[in-house]
Amino acid sequence: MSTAEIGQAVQGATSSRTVLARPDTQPRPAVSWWGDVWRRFRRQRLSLAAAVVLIAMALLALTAPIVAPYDPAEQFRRDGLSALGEPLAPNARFWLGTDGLGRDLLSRLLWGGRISLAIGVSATTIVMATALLVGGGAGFAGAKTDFLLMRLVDLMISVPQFFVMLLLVVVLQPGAWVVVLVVSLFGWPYPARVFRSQILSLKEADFVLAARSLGVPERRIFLRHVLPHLLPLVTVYFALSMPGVIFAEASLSFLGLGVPPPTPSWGAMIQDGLQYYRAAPWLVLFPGLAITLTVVSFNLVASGLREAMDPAQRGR
Amino acid sequence: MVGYILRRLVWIAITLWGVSLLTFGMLFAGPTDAARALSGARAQAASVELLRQRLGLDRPVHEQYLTYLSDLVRGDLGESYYFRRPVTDALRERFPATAQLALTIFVLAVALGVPLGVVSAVRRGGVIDRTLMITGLVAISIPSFLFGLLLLYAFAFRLKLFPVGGYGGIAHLILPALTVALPWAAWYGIVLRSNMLDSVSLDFARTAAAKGLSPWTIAWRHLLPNALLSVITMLGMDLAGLLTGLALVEYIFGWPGIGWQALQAAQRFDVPMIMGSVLFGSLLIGSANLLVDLVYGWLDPRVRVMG
Repeated sequence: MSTAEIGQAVQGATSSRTVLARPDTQPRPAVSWWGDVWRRFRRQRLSLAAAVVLIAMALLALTAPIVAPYDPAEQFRRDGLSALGEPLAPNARFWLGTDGLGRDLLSRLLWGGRISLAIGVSATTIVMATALLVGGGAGFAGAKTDFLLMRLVDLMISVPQFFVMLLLVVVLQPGAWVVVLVVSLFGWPYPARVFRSQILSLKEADFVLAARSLGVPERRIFLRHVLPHLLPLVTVYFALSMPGVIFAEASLSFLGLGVPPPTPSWGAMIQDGLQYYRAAPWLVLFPGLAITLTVVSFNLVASGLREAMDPAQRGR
Repeated sequence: MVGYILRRLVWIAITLWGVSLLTFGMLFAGPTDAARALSGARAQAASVELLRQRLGLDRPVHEQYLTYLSDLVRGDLGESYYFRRPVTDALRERFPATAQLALTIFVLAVALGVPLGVVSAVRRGGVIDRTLMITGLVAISIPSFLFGLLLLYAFAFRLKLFPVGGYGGIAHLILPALTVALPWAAWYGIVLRSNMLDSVSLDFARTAAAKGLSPWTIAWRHLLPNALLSVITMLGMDLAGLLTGLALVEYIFGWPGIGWQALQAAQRFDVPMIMGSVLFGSLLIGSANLLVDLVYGWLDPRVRVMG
């Protein structure tokens, strides 16, 4: 953040001098850091498109009660099923067809997005908070804390994560909050490692030394001088951590161990559709596409943000 | 060297102990009463109590844990609630299928990923390069169970080229192996490519170019060995995720391995079986990690460990 600000300050100072010398030169208009990020992000059209997709999805999820054509739990037993009692293909009345119980697939997809995205965002928030706490603690506290926390990270990445999630869900019994906690359990070790190494190098920076020699307390140095420098990394890793969390939720729901029915989630819809898979593959395809599109978008936005926020990391 | 391996084995043992402590703790912190859940909602209080005693769930927690731990040290993981047989036997019986699938996946992924990475690094911006970038993006964005289902629909239901699932010969093996191997190959191909391009401007690569080697020779002989090292490091960190993919693919294709068994155990509230799978999985990941590090040291003399 401050490199850009310093750059501008320096530029402002020199340009005011050059204005005196050559009145015709135009100084660069003052741009905030976020403005600068936005300018660079905008140039990457694929990431921009992905961001638009995500915003549209978020809006659809938020307004599902209004925009969904039907109640997601309503079973159209008479006109929602074929004469043989099988799900209907996409048609004029049910745009994406119906599922095995004669429920409107589009409405379920919209409501399912609400659940899947809500779980994704809240779990990722927990992941980032934990990663900051662990990474910050390890990077800023003494060597002993660092050692212990890093061994914890080692432990977390060397267990069969999905099996542990299964055990937890079975023991705690499925429910929305249990799912949020369980899927956020294994997302933090990798970001925590990245944050820690960033903090370790920031600790040696000259501005930290300057603050310390001015007598600024350690806590304030961390909060006001080191933490802002982590902001780009945190933003990028927020987007990068979403896919893992969404996958975990979808996989649990796919096994029937996610948020309990009748609440639809994309993973649970895939599980529902599985028994009609041969005759009505769209029951699996549509929620599957929704998951894939969401994750592709998050990955693209993450790479765009990385390019926009940290030009030095370009191409990595 | 021997000392290093010993130290790593001790660390694996510590990991396993930590995992056993964590899983056992979770079991007792949770609100679920195993005896009640197992005997069903309509069971009478007396029979629930009987089951509780038979399973030893009425004893104090620390006593139960010590029993579990001392059994664990002797390689006994308890008895499955569902199958009424030792978990160790079930794991031993199912492991060969998982090992067979995992090995096939590894060979396929290397055989596809390495050439893909080399070709797209040399022919940068070409058709293969651009296809690989797009495929790689989709590959890491599609859940493994969905990809498996799509392959199943296209090649087993529609084209009838492969059996729908189950265990058997090579025909049964191909689809589940490809489900994991294809995304893996695409993703590691991309990593390989970007690592190779990172070192193009380094001195050794410039020297190789200056003495007149063709781009292919430079890529294959000079850039690839270097780039492989960081892929191996990544592999070590991705092992747990790969096991997840493996488990889901086994489940979809009815491949009788330890992953499918663990997922079914979760659906049947078979706690000893899941705990056994967690521990066995940790052992697998730990050993694979050790192997990865040993290979790394063997490939890169700079990090070869002392003593």
